[in-house]
Amino acid sequence: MAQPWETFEAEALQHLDRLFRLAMWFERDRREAEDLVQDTLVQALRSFHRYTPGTNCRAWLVTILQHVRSNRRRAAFRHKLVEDVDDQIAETVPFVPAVPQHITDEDMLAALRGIPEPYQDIIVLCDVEDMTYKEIAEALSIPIGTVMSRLHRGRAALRKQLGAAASGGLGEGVPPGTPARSTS
Amino acid sequence: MTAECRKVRELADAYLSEQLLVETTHDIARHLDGCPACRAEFEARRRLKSAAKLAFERSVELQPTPEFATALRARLAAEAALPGARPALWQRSWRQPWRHWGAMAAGLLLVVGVGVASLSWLSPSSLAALARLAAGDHQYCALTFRLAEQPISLEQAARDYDAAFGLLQSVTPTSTTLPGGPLEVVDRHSCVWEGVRFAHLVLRYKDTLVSVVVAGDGGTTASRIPWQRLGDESVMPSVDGLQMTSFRGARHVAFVVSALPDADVQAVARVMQGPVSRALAGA
Repeated sequence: MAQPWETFEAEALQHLDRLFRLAMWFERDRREAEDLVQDTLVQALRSFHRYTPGTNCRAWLVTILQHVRSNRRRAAFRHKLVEDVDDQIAETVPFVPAVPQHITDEDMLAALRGIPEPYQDIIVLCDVEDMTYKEIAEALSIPIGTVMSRLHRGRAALRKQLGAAASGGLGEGVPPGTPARSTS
Repeated sequence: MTAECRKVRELADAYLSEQLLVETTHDIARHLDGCPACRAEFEARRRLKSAAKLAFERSVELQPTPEFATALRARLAAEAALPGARPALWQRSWRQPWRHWGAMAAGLLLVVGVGVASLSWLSPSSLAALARLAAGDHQYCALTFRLAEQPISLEQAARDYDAAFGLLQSVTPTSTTLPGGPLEVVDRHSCVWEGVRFAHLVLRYKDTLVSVVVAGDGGTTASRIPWQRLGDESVMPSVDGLQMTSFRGARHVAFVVSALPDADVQAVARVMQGPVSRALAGA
């Protein structure tokens, strides 16, 4: 039995902004992101009787968003196999540079964009959305071990990108204390 | 770096994400107390994590527009206001055609009808935005209703889909002054819902919007619609505050839908039925 609109509004719609940011990051196109968020929340509303009050509603919404996104990708024949990426990155991130002392928002977003999408997804869900490994595994339909390994490799790749941005080169680390280009 | 340092750093991500058992967390915290190098490394990772979160929250590019948020809330509120048999209602099934069509008409009116009917959840600014969506140029129609394509003019719809739609471009009520005040047509366009193309006339009466949506039935759908007939006018059940009535010609079905009381919807239907029916008959 569906729960009242007021409950859905209070529990789910408070996360609209964050959900949109996530969708916008994934889709990289405002219209696509709007469609994705709309489909997600319509689906959530229809399935709200399955939501357990008191649990993490945002994680529940993100799981739906990922399923909607996955279905859309599959429908558009744009689904990518990511297993190869894990292997590829495992080979290409042997060195983890230091994290620059000051990181601008632009540098961070650009660096995040610079790593493979499967790793972006994990880092965003973990670090930005504060989802647990278990929640991420459920949302992405992958084992927890894969979440952990991708998070580890993804953060290493992110540091490499940030290091490259801070040094103006590619893949070169930055010694601790190196002045940043700018501050946020 | 000691073996313990290596072990602790392997767990750094899980530690910072608070994914470890309490005992393990305490062990790592103890190590960090006595190891400046690991403490610096953990602090760097924490900074990285925090920077990612802040970058997201502060990025203008990633924020939703107020218009989108308003329109989406309206769509969701409308969906929530539909009858309890929601899953069946919204499935793309024609097994219950009258309910499907009723939902479709209500959906087309979501801003017009449900939005205005459910004032309790709307702020004045939201209401104004909804009014703009409903009475304006429907630039958000496709977004709000998840239409397959953007609304088009009735002229274009007449050229491309149904000649009768063009005749609706000049349809006016037989009377523009009703007992409750003036009745005016504020918008006309053609849009698609669930694969069915509609002509959509938006009217305003008593400061409330009323939709007249017309669809061709291809000679099959209308004959299967089982609602009660009252002369040439058919009355459909109220849907969570939405009053709906309908009439049909040889090849078309028209719905009149609003949050106004039934008597007002009937009054609008009476002054629209003749002109719409005559236009459709002339196609």
